[in-house]
Formats: sequence, C-alpha cells, structure tokens
Amino acid sequence: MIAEVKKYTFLVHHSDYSSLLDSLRDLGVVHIVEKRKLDENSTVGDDMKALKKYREAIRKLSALLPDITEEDNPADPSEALDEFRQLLTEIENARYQTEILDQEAEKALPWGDFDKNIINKLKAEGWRVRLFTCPEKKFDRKWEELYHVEIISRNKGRLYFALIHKEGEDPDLKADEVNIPEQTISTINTQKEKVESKIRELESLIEQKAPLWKASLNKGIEETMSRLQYVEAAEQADKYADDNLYVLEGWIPVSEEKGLQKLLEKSDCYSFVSEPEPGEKIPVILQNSKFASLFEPIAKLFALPAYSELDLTPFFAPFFMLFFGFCLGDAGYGLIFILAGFIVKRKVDKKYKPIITLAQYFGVAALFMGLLSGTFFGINLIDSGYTITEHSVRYMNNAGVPDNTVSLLDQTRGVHFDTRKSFSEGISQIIGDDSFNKHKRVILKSADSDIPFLNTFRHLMLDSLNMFYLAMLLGALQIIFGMALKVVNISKQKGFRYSLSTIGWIVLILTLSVFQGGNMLGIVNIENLRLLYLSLIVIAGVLIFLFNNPDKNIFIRLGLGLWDSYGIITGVFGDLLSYIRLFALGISSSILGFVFNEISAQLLSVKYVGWLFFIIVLLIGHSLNIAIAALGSFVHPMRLTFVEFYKNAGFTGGGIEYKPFKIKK
Amino acid sequence: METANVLTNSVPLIFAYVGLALMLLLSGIGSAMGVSMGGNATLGAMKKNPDVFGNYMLLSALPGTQGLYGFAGFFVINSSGVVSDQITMLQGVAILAAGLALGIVALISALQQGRVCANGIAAMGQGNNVFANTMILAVFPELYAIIAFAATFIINSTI
Repeated sequence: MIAEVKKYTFLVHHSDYSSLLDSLRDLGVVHIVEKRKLDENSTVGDDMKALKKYREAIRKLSALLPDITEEDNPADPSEALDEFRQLLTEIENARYQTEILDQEAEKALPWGDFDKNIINKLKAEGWRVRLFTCPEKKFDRKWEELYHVEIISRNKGRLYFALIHKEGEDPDLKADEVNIPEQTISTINTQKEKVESKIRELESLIEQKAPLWKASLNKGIEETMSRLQYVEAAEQADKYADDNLYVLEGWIPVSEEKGLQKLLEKSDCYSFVSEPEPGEKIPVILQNSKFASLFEPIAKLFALPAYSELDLTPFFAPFFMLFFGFCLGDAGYGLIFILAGFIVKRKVDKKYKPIITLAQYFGVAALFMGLLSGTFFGINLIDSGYTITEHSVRYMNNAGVPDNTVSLLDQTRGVHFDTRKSFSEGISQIIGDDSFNKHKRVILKSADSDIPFLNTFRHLMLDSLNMFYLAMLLGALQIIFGMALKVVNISKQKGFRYSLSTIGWIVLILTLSVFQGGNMLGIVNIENLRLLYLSLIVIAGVLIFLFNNPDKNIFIRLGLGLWDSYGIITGVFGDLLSYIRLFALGISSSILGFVFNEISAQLLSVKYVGWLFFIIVLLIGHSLNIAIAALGSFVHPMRLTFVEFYKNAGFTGGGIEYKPFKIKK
Repeated sequence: METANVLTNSVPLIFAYVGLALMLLLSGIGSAMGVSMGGNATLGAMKKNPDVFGNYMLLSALPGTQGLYGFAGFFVINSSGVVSDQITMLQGVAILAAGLALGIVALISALQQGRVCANGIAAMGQGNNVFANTMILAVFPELYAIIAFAATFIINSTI
C-alpha cells in the first residue's frame, strides 16, 4: 500500500519565512518540493567542503582503527578534525623520514662503523681515503701489493674495500668508487629507532583519542548536514512581489496532517491544500503489513512505484520467499538460516533486525522446498532405500490395493532397492506398469526407508522432473497473477475499460490451459464442452482485438490487438521459460552439496586423522556452497520479480523517496 | 577385424569423455575469465570509491556460477553410470552434444556476464549507485547457462 499524501502550498512574508522553516523542521514530517539544487559555488560552499573533509577523516579513522566505539560527549568538531589531520601529517612525515633513513642505511651498511674524524685528520696530513666496490671475481690481488688497500666487507659476491693514498697520486683501480657515507650505520639506526618510537607514540595518541574524535567528527557531519539541509530547504521557495512574498511547497502524509494544521493556525502563514496530480513528482511512502514490509528494501532496490500505482511489494513477497527456497533447495541450509538468524539477531543493531527476520523467512522457504525436493545437506532423501516389509503389506491391504497385487508384491519382501527409480522399475516389472501407476503413491508410501523417520512423508517428495514442472507452474501462476494485478492497476489509474484487453488475455490463457491441459490429463473433455470453450475464446478475442484502447477507432484497435498479440505471445512464452532457473539452481546447489559429502566421506578412510579431514571438508564445502547458492537464490528471484512479474503487472515506477525536513538525530 | 571391433566399441566412449571434458573445460575457462574481469574492474574502482568493496565482490563473484553449472553437469552424467564399457553410440553422442552445448553457452555467458559486472563496478567507482541495477542486468546472460544446464540434466535423464 502507498500512504496517501497531500500537497501544501505555504505563502509567507519574507520576514516570517525563517520562523516557518523552523517550525516545519521541528514538526519533521513535511517533504519539501525540490525546485533547485545547491552547488559548491553557492553560499554554502564552505559547509560542503567541510562535510567532505569530515567524511574523509571518518573514513581514514575507521580504516586505521576499525572497531572503535564512540565516546558519549563529543568535543568541538573542527578542532578534532584539525588535531586528527595534523597528527596524520606528522605520522606521514615521520614515515617518509624512515624511508629516507632506510635508503641511507642500505648505502652505509657495507662500510660498518667508522670515525669520520680520522678520515679528516688523514686528509689534513695529505692522505686521501676512498671507498670502492667491485664483484669479488674482478678484484685483483695485485692491488693489495701495489696500494694500501683494506677489504672492509663481502656481501652477495661483491667486495667492499677502502684505498688510502697520498694526495696527488691517482691509482688506477678497475672498481666502482662510492662516496663516503655521511653517517655510519649505527648512527642511522639510532635515528631510525627514534623516528619509529615517535610514530608509535603518535599512533597510540590517535588510538587514545579516537573514540572522542569519532564522536566529534560524526557530530561535525550531523551539524553541517543539518545546516546544509536548512539552507537547501530555504532555497526551495519561489519569490514574488519584489522578493517580499515567499511561496514554498511541501508534501505531507494525510496521517500527519493534524499536526501541521495546528502549527499553521499559530503562524502568520497563509496556506492551501491540493491533491496529488498526475505528472507531479510525488513522494511515495510504502505502508505494508509486518510480513510484506520486510520485502520493502528489495522493492526499493529496483524502483519505488509511482504514487498513482499499486504497490506490488505484498504481492511479490510470498513468491519471492518461495523462489528463494526453490533455488536454495536444501532443507538443512534452510535450518541453518533459521537458527543462525536467532543467534545473529541478539548481536546486531536494531535496524538490521528486519533483514535477519527476512533471512529467516527465506530459511523457512528453503526448509519447505528442501523437504519437497528431498534434499538435506546434500543428502538425497528420496533415494534413501526402499524395502517392502510386513508392515508395508499390511498398509497396502488397508489402503485398498487389490489382494492379488499385494501378494505379488509380497514376493519382493526384504529386497532392498537403492533408489526410487530402481524400486519403481522393479515393482513395475512384477505387477505391470498399469497396476503400478494406479497405486504408485500407496506403494511408495508403504515401502520402508533406511531412515525410518522419513516413512510418513517421503512419498510426497517430488523427483527432479516434477520439480521442473513445479517451477513452470509457479511461473505460470505468477505471470497470470501479475496480469490480474495489471487489470487492477490500470483500472485504478485510467479506468476499468482500459483494462479489458488484459482481461481478454487472462481469459484466453486460462481457457487454453484449463481445456487443453485438462484434456491432456483426461480431466476435461473438450468435445462435451465445445460450446463453452469456443465462446470463451471468442470473448477473449473480442476483448483483445476490439477493446484494447477505447480512445482509438476500430481499425487502429485491430492493429493494436495484433501488435499486442505479437508482444504477449512471444513475451509470455519467454517469461515462462525463464522460471526454469528455479529448478536448475535448486538442482545445482543440491548436487554441489552432495559432491562435498562424497569427497569428505572418502577422506574418512584416511587412518587416524580421517575424521578431522572429514569434518573440515564438510564444513568448508557446505559453507562455500551456502554462500554461492544464497547469492544466486537472492539474485535470480529478484530478476524474476523485477523483469517477469513487474512487466506482466504493468509496473511503471518513478515515485520519489519521502524525505521529511527535520532535525537528524 | 579385432582392432576394428575395439575401435568401434571405444568410439562412443571417446565421444562421451570428450563431451565431459568440453563441459568442464569451457565453463571453467569462462568463469575464470568472467570473475577476473570483475576483479580487475574492482581494483580500478577501489582507487576512487573504496567504501563498497563488499558490493564489488558480490558482482565479481556472479560469473563464477557458470563453472559450477559445468561441474554439476559433469557430475550428473558421470554419476549416472552411463559412461562405461556398455555405452551405446546414442549415449556417447548425446553426452558429446550436452558437453558442447553447456560448455559453449556457459563460456560465452560467463564472459558477457563478467563484462556487465565489470562495467557496473566501474560505474560504481565513479560514484553512480547502480549496484542493484547491475545485479539484475548481470543475471540476464546467466539464464542461458542455467537453461543449458537444465538441458544437460534432461538429456541425462532420457538416455
């Protein structure tokens, strides 16, 4: 349902304008009609820039320390921002310094510790000290004899050595000369330690102040936002009579109207009320039952309905839930969703609780669909062994299976069949296909399973071919349901006579499926009901070809009817096939679950630690499968809803979000 | 004569295994390439808008399912017991056809889905909030891989 809204137009003298805005903001329910947008060049440019800075700071703070809690008493936001930013710059500078020191250390490392004074003293005496490096293989032993060469260190195949010679001499060494490092390695290291301890200090300071800063920065965001919103709201008034008269428009839900009227009685503002008109941008407030409102976030992912339209949320909700279950298709996974939901709910913030509840509903659907398709944590419940026992014979006798058939079946007493398929084939051979098909349900129910718990309901589980038909059937139901909603939607927006051709299509599809489908199944005999059948088809044809658009003349209507037929015949067929995904996704998730069971079961044969591998593979495998399958099970029903269902229900969308002008808390 | 017999007997078996190999190979390649497209786009988008990594990741993961359909198809056929010494020509050719169909469809569907996802991620990096739209659009190409898988499943249950 969409809540009813009304438009108020406020006329006020410019001197009373700000008091009107204040009282509207205190009331907090009026959605002000947006006529112009603020940009960074306007008067609020500084606020917008500040907002950006606050947001960036919060992001950096959360990146540094992900789980800090806010302190209760925030400080001055701009001071906090400055302090935080200054500390960040200091840390950054210190980090840069360590990088430079690292580079220097790399250069100084081969030369060890030396006293620069000695080098200077030697220089004063006319001796030069020079440093060289070369690959060890290139080092010529003669150099040591010819000159004063001192090897200082060796590293990764390179030699580092010093040469001392008199000023003016120029020994010819085929090695690379390097500059004497400014500082020795130990002084560099002590410097680096100092800088690093400074970084640690700064970081712990940030950690200490983070709760306060986070609160303060958030306060800054809130304050700036509310300032911006105020200015933005103030900008939306049209000005008349030399800027003396301000005219402001706003939407308000009818349920909140009384408060506004009380407010207006007290103020010096003249106002008038108008009903929403087509073509206006009207804020849409969805109002649904507790169950359907859980699905509103999903509906909003796509688009809000237009104000004049039907809100489809409550109508797709049960289908969506069922489809999710169909795609996940595992009763065990469904149980996990339900149970995990209860645990998670205790820990999360209040605003996430509806999402968890929704996930639990999905779990219920998965549990149901998993039981229907006979899958529990990848275990196939349908093929859980079939044995005819004494109890089976008694059951068949009571259920009215002919005595001779039962006595034939009694011959197989104690024989164990692994799968439903092999059991059905085996029994068919004994009692004949006709007889088996006639009593199939009773025979299947009577056979004992390896898991006794399943005996009561295993015969209800659908094998994959029936799941395939079920997927198509659900699709057909949703498409026809969508068309019926389209009739309501069009009647609501334009008038009933515009919906006649859609009614024609519904009649046609239902007639064809009931009569043709019924005929194939042998329930309906078309020959006996030929008159009814033909007249229904004629009525549908007339509605489709002659009543599709009351505004146009008859020939154009014929053409439109043809065009519609092309669209609907190709469209509906494609839409229906699209529901195959439900079946295939369900199958693939249960197959993958089964594969993980198989792999882990094989690991059990590993001696001593097999059970450990078994548990690990089982846990990881199923978690992975749940994650992938849940993503698919959410996205695919979403597509079926927004594409197939919305299209057939004639959804147009385009409502805007209801954002009342109020003080943010 | 003897060799000829052995050859004719093994031809359907070769067909079947080539079919299974194609099924796994093409769908796996498609998914691997599809998810990398998403991953590459994510790395680019992280530079401008790192706040929604979770959403990028979900979109990047979408083309991963085609590989799973390929594997599920392989598993269905492999565990049905058809691929054995007694395999008939009909079964061999049917498995080859299923492998070709599922493999090629999954390959192209994963590649195209990867492209849609990558574009969506790039757009989100620019600040456009198109997460839900991308999700819905990205599922469009996946349908055909799903249908090919359903067809494989049906082929398996009829041979």
